[in-house]
Amino acid sequence: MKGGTHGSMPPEVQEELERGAPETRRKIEQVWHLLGRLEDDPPAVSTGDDAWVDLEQRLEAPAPAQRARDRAPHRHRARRSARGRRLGLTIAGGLALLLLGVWLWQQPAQVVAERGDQRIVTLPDGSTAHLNSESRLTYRRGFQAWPFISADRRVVMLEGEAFFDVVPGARPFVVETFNARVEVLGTEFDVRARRGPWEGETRVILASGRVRVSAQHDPEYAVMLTEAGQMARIGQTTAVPDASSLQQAQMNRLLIWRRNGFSVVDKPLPFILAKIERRFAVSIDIEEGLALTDSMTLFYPRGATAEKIINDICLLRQCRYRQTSSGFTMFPADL
Amino acid sequence: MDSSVSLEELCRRLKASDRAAFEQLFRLLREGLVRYVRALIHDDTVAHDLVQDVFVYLWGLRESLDPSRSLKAYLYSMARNRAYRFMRDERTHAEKHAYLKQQETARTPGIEDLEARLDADALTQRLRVWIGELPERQREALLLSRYHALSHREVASVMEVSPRTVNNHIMRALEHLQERIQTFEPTLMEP
Repeated sequence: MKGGTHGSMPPEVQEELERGAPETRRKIEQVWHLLGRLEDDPPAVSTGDDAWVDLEQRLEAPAPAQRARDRAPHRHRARRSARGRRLGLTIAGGLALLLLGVWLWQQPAQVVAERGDQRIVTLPDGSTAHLNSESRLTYRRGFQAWPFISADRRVVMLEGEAFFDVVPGARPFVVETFNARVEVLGTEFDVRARRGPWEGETRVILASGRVRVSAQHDPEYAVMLTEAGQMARIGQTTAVPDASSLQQAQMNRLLIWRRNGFSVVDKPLPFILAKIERRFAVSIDIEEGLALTDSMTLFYPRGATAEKIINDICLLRQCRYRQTSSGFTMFPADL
Repeated sequence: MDSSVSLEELCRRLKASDRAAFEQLFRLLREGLVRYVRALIHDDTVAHDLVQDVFVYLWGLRESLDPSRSLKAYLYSMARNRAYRFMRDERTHAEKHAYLKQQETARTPGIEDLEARLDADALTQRLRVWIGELPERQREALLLSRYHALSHREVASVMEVSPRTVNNHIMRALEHLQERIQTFEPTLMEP
């Protein structure tokens, strides 16, 4: 909750201050501001990931509510009786934890948004990544090379699509994809890197700040994106990034997934259907006799559902659809 | 934090048993809750355990949630109740309590030493001490408002007082701190 430390004064306090002397008001505002310098230490006991694993195990166990109630007195009893052995246990436990900790450090942290899901992740430096469906983000725990030793770069590996809001910092922030590398110093941008028959490219769209985009195997050939709306692509065959500019409206459309919308511009139908499958975790079957190969443009600013989109595609292409247990089947209209 | 996925929306999805939404809520709010409970009971391990209990409990009653009411205030008040229940249980065992107290007094200077060495900015150190001087209720209201971004109404429902009282607590706390800063670090108060 780092946001809290930059929080503005509650309106009730402001109102009360407006009734008083301006000097008092300024001073109290100053105090509020100064308090922002104080950041609580993060909890020493287990990270969010470990805590989540622990919680999931407890939820999986039978009658979790019952267990939760039973746990508390048990814990107290253990604490009271074990004081004598406490020191020995602490030392043994400490050693075990240290070994476990070092081992864990070697495991990169991983965040996955499954099909039909989106997730917002806060990274160790306070930057955030908003993951689109079927995307995976991997990074070293705490952006550290070793326990207590910071790595010299903040590196994340991305498969899929994510929108990054990077907190400025002395260490460069780097997004690596299967074929590209994006380097930044505090900015907001979208990276999409999917492999597959209809995609196979890394696309970077800049929302603010500046980034440097280069090919994974040829870091010399790079483009700088410096203005909002600039876009760079690295394809499977073209190793050199290719930059172009987008209008504000075009950019909004490409990033509409962040607002629960759905948009494709002049894309072949197999691409569109794959995107629907991924986004809404459905499977779409096409019956024989229905050729869906041409391109289409679709835009839903918000509240898009798989059925709504498929219904619209069928209206435009004179086909029909029915719901199945796992999604939809599309078939020719005049059967 | 992205505003497009609001707590209200996550609460609605949680009510529909969406595990991913539950995880997202857990990751968004857990750290703040642990800090808050730790500020009440001064024990990292117990704070962690109590917050885990809160989320287990939340999952258990997800279907009865009301998304139009503040989920954040609800979680904070559940955490608070558990913290107070824990303190009450501890207190019934006087011996244990004395031990805790002793541990607490032994602990404070150690931490101050360490932080004084690590912390180049002595001001944060002083602020911590001054916040520690505040009456318990004032401190709690200020912490919830300043560091956990709870609105007055949310703080009021967590602390079970009126929003008016919350405002008084926060104003008194800020005035006290202003006085302290004015006396010891007057340069900081210059425009």
